[in-house]
Amino acid sequence: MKRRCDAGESWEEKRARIIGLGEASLHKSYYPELRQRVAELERFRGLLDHAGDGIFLIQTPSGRVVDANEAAAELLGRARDALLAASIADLLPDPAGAAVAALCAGERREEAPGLTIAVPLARGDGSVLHLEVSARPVVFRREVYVVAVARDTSERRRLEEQLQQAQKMEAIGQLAGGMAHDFNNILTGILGNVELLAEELRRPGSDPAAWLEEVGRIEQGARRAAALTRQILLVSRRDVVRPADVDLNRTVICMREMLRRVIPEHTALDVDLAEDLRPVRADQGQIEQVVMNLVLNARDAMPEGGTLAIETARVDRAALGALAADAADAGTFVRLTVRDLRPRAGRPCSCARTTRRSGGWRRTPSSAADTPCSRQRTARRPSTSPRPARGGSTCS
Amino acid sequence: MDPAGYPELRKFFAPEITFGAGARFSAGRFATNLGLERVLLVTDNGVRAAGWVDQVAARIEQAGIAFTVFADVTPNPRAEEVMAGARVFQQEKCDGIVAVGGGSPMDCAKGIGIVSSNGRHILEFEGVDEVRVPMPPLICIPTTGGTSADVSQFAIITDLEEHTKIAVISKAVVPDVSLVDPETLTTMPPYLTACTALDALVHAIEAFVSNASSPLTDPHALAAMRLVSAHLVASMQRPDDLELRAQIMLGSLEAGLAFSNASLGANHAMSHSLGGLLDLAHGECNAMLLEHVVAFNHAAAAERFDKIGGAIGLDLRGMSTQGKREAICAEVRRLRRAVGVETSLGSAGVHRSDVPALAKNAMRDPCMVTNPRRPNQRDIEVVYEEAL
Repeated sequence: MKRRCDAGESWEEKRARIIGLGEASLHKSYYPELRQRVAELERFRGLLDHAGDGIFLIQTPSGRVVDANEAAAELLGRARDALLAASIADLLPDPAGAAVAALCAGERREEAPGLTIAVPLARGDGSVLHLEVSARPVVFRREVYVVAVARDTSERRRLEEQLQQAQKMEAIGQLAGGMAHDFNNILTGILGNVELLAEELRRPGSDPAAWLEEVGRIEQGARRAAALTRQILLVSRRDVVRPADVDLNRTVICMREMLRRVIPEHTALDVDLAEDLRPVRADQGQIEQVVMNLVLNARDAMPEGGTLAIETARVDRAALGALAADAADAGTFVRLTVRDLRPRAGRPCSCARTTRRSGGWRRTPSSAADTPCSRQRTARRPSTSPRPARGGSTCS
Repeated sequence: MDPAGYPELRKFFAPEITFGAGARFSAGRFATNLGLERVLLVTDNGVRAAGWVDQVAARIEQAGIAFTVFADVTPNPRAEEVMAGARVFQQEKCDGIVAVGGGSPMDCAKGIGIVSSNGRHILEFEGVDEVRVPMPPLICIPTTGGTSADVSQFAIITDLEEHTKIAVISKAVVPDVSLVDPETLTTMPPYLTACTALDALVHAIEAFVSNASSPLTDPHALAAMRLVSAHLVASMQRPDDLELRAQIMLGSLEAGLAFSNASLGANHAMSHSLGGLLDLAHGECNAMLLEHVVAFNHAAAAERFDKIGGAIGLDLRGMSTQGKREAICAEVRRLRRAVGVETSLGSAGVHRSDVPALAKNAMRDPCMVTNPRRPNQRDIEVVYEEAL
């Protein structure tokens, strides 16, 4: 600690300061300090207002907004003054508005964990924004408030969709080469049979019963062509999500030929499907996309070739541990595994893994013990769906 | 007066003052008006035991304001106590201070306020106008009639390591509100009553002869001398007479207004040095030195001392300068005897060998610069030696 030293100051100078004639002689004035704090506050306010996210300070337990930045006003298309004293439940669309209001009103809210909810917001001009609303409790001067941050994720979602579409187009491009060849072969077969049939028809006295076999071959060829077309459409379409009972085994069987075309010749495709698999509740198109993406990832992870294995299995809830911890219903689950089995054992997996939730589906990253790496998805089966007959399904 | 005959520039600082019986009960209202939400109630255990703190706390609580009591304050408050109080202030998230007590809790409260706003050790503020950031609102409720810390720009803090007292002198240290309630004097022990009243008398005399005295401070100083000298002995004899207590309290307040603006002199500079060495009561130190300092200063302000003589009830007409000086010194001695404060420096434990160090510290004290006679260190040593 350093003591102040006023050595060198004359008695006259010191006396002048003691009796209040010094330059720093001032009774208490908070004004200079106040002005400095106000300037700091204005600067911070500017920072806050120009943040990309809408920020709300909400009183608890009332759920009334006591402060909001300009970005919040712009996001909601209202004047900032109109936000103040409004209820957060009235400002944000449900379920976000209701969830934040519940956080405000909850017991021991100061210790409550934060929440994040994605919600669409219909604006006055008819446009729809995709919001991601995060909220958490904060304590200011012994009062509990909730700070909610609303982020416009519309652009991010658009880019993600673009990326997904681009990935699909890439897969379609890869498919198209192989399929054009197949399609040509089918057409060649159909045309050959049509020519043959025409010749038979032109020949006097030919037996029409003998033509039926040719017609059947033409029909078979046309059906194969139709099936090929459907597979391309299936990959390229952007349908809305329609959950339905989906048989994973049938999905894999139907996709098998298409998958064969996107993996190189020096990579073997090994499919092992469980006998006792039950249907799952999911969107058929999304599942096919998932399978396609997993296969493409596995393919990319072993450029030198190897075996790409697809397995389905029925697993118990207990075997899934934490993965099924929040599952509302008990019962069994279905697992789809895509593995890249490289020729040199022990080589580490180079592919990136993500964990992401989509409806009743989860991607489970492979554990350190998994060698070689595996990519799995697990889906919960519908509790009431009947078990479909195996082997009798068709790819439509 | 300057050569042109105009008065020199002078300033006058004072808090918002409420004087009278029951003034202490307005603590809650003032705290509300100052926008406080949680106050640090600075006091000492003696004042707490007398019951004044509970009364003030009740009013603060009734006003809906939370409070935390800090009573770890000893006589002659130490720098460590100030720092401990500042920690409590910050931990409890206080936004204002109410000091209830004598000079020690009030000076400690000022120190706590300074440290809380400025964030540095209290000893770094020694000197004049070193407090740049205003401290939180401070309400003082004095319970002794003498220190006048409730109106002054001074905070005296003991530096135990250096065995001395430091003076923090700043207009920013003048409290916001002073609630001067004579009823609080009724629980003071007789010896403390005597010491604090003599302290007020020294404040008034030093402010009046200060080389910074002015027409703004003189009436306060003279009024203080009249009030204390006229009522002290009677107040000691009739301790429950509230009217007499009120006269002493008013005298203390008048002296405080005078010395806070005109500053003090050698008496206080020497007393601060003495108190740092021996941890003696401040009023007692001042009383022990007064007649010797008056003798030393008399020639430098003879006309002013004549007025002092009149104010303390002496008829100095027809006397020689030396006679007047002796008469004033004799009256001071008489008053001390009458109220039982007769200790000398020697009987208080000061040795001749202590004198050079005491004088050295006294020469550095800011109070010395307004003494009417500019001394050298040897002059001060002689005054100490005469008081042994």
